[in-house]
Amino acid sequence: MSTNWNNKKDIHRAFHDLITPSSYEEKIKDEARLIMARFLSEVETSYKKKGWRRKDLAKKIGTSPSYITQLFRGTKLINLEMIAKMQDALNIKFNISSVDLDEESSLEKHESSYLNQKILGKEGFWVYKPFPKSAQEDEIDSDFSIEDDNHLIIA
Amino acid sequence: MKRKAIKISESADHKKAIYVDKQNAEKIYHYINQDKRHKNKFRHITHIILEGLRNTELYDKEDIDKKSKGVTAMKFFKGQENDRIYCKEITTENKTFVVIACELHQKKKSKGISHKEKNIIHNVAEYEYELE
Repeated sequence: MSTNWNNKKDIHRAFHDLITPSSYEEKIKDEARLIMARFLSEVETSYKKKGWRRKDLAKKIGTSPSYITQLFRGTKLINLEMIAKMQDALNIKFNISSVDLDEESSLEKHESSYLNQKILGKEGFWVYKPFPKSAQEDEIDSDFSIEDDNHLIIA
Repeated sequence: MKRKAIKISESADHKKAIYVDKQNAEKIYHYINQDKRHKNKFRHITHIILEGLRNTELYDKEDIDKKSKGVTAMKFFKGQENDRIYCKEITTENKTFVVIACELHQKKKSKGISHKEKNIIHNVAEYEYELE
């Protein structure tokens, strides 16, 4: 199907196709790079805050600046030992949390249906939101194992 | 006259969005669509922007002087082809953070900013947009 470059919908569709992974394998590779990027975002913020350059970080963790550059460019994937070394060198700690996307989408549907109902009735409306989870529930289990949990997201 | 920009992607919370300059959309599209390597890189950069992550190796400000405020660059294959898509960052009235991919610049040769690049960056800084 040819693209009419003056047509908003055509342009949107063309780019949407570009940024949609073409296979499950591609989607997983994207996710892996994104998880790495979440770590590296924190790493970059931290080493710049300390006034370091990338080569300083490389030296501290015993690797080459070009390896670090390849990680930042997304051409190589980081491993957990390297994350531990960065954490140690920068004296930081990564906090890990996860979001249940099923729960999140059902909550959105619930709120959206409630709002639609009230708006259709032409009434003023209150927006009810569930109480936040207790502080205890929000605490991260300190005994977690990365290998035991395969859907962790880094904050 | 205001230029037009078309939305191509947004974050799940709708607080961040990526648009493309309508006038340059075809050129930018064909550049990204040339092979899998370019498409993978573009997807990765869009994810980084939409999550608000910091990675100056792939996306960074190009504020070379006072006349280049709000201009950024998506960086493709630094140290190799060294291509750029110059972008403009704006915040809409409803507080959505928007990055508009404005101008493609291929084979950035020098490490510093050439006269040609300076011109593109200054032009992009002056672009005004109507978001479609």
